[in-house]
Amino acid sequence: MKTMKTPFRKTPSLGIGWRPELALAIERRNDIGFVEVIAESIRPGHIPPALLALRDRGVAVIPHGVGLSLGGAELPDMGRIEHLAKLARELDSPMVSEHIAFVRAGGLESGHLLPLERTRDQLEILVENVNAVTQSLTVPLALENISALFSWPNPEMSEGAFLRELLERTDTLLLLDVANIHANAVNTGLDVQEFLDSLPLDRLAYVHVGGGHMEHDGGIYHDTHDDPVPPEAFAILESLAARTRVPGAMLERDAGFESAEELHAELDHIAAVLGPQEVAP
Amino acid sequence: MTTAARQRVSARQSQLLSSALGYCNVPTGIDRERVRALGMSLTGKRDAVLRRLMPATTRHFDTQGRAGPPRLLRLSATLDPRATAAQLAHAGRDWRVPIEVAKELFKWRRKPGWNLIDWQCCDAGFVVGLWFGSRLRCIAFCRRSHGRSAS
Repeated sequence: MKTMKTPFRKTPSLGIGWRPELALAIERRNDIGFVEVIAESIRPGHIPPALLALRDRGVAVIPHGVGLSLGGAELPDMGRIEHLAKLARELDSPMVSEHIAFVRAGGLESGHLLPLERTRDQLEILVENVNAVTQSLTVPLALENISALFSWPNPEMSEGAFLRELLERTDTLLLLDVANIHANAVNTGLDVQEFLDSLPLDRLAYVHVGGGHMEHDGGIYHDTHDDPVPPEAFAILESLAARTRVPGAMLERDAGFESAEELHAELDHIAAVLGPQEVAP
Repeated sequence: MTTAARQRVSARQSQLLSSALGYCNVPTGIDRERVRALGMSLTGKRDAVLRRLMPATTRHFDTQGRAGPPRLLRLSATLDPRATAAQLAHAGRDWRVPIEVAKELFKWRRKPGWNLIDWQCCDAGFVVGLWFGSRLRCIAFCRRSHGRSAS
């Protein structure tokens, strides 16, 4: 495994997804140990000053990709990989992260993170694609489980087994999204505790906690990132913390910024689960 | 092995996108004048639109009508993207958005962070997607108000 210059040295670290609308709230909160920024939303050489200020303050900044399409049938685009690598260098990032998903195929952009088939074919492609990415990175890559509105038929492996083999063969880290686990429990019948038990938690890098909502009549959970975090997601975080030391956990909020109280309450809740945290100097 | 695997996976992923999600994605920016020329407009709240369409898209796959969590029962080679609206309507979900919705959606394009609208036409109307950053946040089908064919 690549040497990991972790932001989570001895004590758990509290984080949040950096968005321009939240810059001031993040800056004013002194217990934030790391932030994650959507890689495709910023450009090397044009990093928002507020983000650079956080970096200079000692807050770890993690570029979070959404467009590599690691599970796509085509090799990831080298330009996108270089973009991620440049951001990591410029932000002095301890790691970068991406999703276990595909976002394009046959010349079409889905605009959405789509679930992969859990087949040998898919796993071989995924391993090859991820290895192509990590070869160009100088920092570790963490891979995130996604939320799904559907699952492919006839899986050849369980989700846990698929994930474990992927991480081991690519020597990557795990970015675990507990809200996505909840979404998949609702939408595809995933057994939460069984899934947590099956994970290679020794590779856990950090955790996402985000909000969403149930559709009233459809029994569908939407991982919107603009609703309150559901109790079920916090419960999964607590279950995870009972199993292993959680190095870091962060709130994802993409919209619905009106209520600062709600935002801080959710951060406080995450912090409480983490226990005493490392604070950026 | 990987080359063959890539071909197999590519076929299935492409089929998925072209049969459902691909229907609403074309890598071009929207052209307001062109939309007006087509006689299109939209109404409604984005969340309501999101709620309407995403479950409908999911149900679109549940061709057996089974209860329980939505499952992709099969990749439907028989599905024609142009017939998607009719198929969704047949599934009992009126996912069409009243024609005034478009104006509201277009307004969102000018809000901070909402940086792209993709669209694709079909005979029955067009589908529009609103993006926030790199995430698709809203998609809606807009029924054609009169019978000109899509170009």
